[in-house]
Amino acid sequence: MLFNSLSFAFFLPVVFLLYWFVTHGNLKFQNILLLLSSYFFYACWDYRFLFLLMFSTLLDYYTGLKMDNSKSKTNRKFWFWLSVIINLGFLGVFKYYNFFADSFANALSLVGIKANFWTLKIILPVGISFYTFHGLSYVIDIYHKRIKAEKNFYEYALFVSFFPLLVAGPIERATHLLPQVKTKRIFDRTKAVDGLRQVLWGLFKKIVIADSCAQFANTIFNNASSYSGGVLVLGALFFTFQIYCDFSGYSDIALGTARLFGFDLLRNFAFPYFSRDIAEFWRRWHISLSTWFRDYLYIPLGGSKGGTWMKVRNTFIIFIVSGFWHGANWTFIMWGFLNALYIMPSILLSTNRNNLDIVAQGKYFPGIKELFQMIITFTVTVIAWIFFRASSINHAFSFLRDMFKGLFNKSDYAYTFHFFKNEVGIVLPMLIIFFFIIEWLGREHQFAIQNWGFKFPRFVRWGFYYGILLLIFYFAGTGTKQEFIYFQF
Amino acid sequence: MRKFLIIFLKFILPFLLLIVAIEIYVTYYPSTFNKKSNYLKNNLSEIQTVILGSSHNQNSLNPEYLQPYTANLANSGQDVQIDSALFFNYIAKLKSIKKVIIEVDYFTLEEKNDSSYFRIPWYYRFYNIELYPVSLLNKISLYSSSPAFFNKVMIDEINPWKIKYKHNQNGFITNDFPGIMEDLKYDSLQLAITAAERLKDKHTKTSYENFVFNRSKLNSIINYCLSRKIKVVLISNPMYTTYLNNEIAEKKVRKKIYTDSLLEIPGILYFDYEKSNRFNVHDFKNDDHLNSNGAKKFSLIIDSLINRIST
Repeated sequence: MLFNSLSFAFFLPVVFLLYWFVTHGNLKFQNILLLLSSYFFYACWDYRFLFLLMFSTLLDYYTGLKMDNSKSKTNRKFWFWLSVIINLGFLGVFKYYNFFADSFANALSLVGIKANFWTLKIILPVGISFYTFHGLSYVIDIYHKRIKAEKNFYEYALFVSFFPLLVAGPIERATHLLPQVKTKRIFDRTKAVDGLRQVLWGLFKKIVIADSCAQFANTIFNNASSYSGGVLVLGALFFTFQIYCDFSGYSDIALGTARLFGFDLLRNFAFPYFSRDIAEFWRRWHISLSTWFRDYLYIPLGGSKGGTWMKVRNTFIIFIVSGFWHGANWTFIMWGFLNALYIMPSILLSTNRNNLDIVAQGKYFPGIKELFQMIITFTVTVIAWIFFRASSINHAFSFLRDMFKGLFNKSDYAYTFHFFKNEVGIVLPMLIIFFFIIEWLGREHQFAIQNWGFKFPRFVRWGFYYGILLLIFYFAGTGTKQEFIYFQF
Repeated sequence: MRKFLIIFLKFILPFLLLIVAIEIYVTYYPSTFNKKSNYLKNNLSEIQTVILGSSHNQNSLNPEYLQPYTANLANSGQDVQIDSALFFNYIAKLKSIKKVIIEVDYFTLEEKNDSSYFRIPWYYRFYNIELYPVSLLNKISLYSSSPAFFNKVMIDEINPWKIKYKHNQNGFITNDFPGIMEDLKYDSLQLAITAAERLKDKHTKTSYENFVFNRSKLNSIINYCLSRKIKVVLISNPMYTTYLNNEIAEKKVRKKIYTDSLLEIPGILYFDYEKSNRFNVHDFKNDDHLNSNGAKKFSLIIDSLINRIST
């Protein structure tokens, strides 16, 4: 079941009404209802993989309890590693088996050995990377005695499977979400209205911007060799907007939906395209994953305590692992590596924490320096996204080569203008500009339209919401519906 | 909570009303489907001639110039299986039926829509035909079956610069929309030069499987008609040279063998105007569709031929 589907539009109100009216505020009933709804939500995609989710939940629940009850350190270690190995084992088999088999065979063929490993037709269970990381953070926290194991199974299961975050995050922590699961939730109108606003903005980003950009990004990336350099630049830009609006749109819908049920999930995006350097970008992009890697990989590896070499090594490790987390393809590893390179100067010069505040806070416009910094950061990000979107490393490099070649070719500009005028048209660029303005104006809030129009009378505010709703309705019918990109991760 | 729900309902109500209004609009606006099904349902006992087929027959036979009580049920993208479904759904109710005009154009016998064809729910809505299972949502909402199409219809409707369709009472579109002939100023040289690119995917699919399927569907219509003494009139519509030059020999041969076999059966008439020199570039909207002038000309020809034979 997709957030942007009609079935979800029926599912959500039904669960919402049952949750607040039928359970009479009974926490146990509310949690059980949410758990069953979450399993139903997941089963709508593929009921067979529901058992994998349940098994993973049971495994972490059981090993968590075992770790907590272990008297000896060895015993504790045993249960910890059992959980980690099985969790990563599942992830490895379902997500990475074919990648390793192919890469190993290719490596052997370079030294003249012909190896023929079995490649399996494995379906990637949706959300496996997300719920595995939920579970891992839980067992790691128990192992390090940061939290106690949860004794109530269905409450733990709800922490892992809560439907708004089940398939594409945000990646929650037990320390943040479990206490909310265990606490009585009282309906808060302000929070619910805020949640609806966030859902609305998320749907706009996904259906109006991301899916429209996807049509062009897909065409251009899939037929890169037949387009001019300027069109390739457009393709890269369209993908840059697509990936942001797709994933942050998903996150907005997830966070907004959770708010309707009284939950506050971790923020996942904080207007990353308004970052002044790459370090700031990574503090604002996919925050729940970045902080996960920081807390469970970077810091255990020594973080930035062991001198410059250690910092450099650990930075490369987390970026490459982060790239690999996204998918079993060298393009993702290259994307991670490239981002590590981007961030390296600020790590070496210790300027990575220079921009902790919000750009141009309290002002309508940024300063010249800030604008320049934002443009540079945005540009290098666009280049990195080419690796993320390309089907192979060769594809990415030839895309980049042709793109830059076009910059020095006069006739290329005419063709690009022709393409822009005849294929893209004026509507999508106008919508992107509108989206950018709203995001800029709302950058000091949790999401762009959180406080939009509070100074105006209700009819103006509602008119704005109706406008967005109509655009969503129109584009949902007219455009081609695309799956959320992060579902494949 | 109560306040939240009330405000939410207040907010969402106009939007829901808008959706209802859109649904009413797409169901009742004077579309070809709407007009044709209304004409059919309102004149069931009077209709004497029924025309089946695709956009070729839809555009070429204007009932205004044919004998009274002619229902042109041909429609864009309509294949033989839909023709057959329409025919058998209504034939028993057509008490005065005397003739059935069936399209046998070059491509007719080898095209077949599958269950994803976007107009399948329209036939359910307007003719009560469920050729393939229609989802509950599409049964309830016509808009949901083809939102992109209806969005365009509504945008065109409110666009003052867009030419609006005009239908006569039989649902035939009486005004011309710019087609490639008008775009290229009826310049036959330009039309020939640009034909290859324009027609590269036009009716190029060959399928013996579809041919066999469609043949059996047509045969069942014909057999039914002959058993009830209803005249069968087969028609091949006039085509422009560029379209004729693009035809595939294999398909042409299959069609010819089939139509020749039918001509041996008494009670079947076949008017083959595919290569007729009575139609020139000014009679066409595009390579394979007549414009309203061409339709008038062709309809009068067919009418006189049928009249002559009937008398």
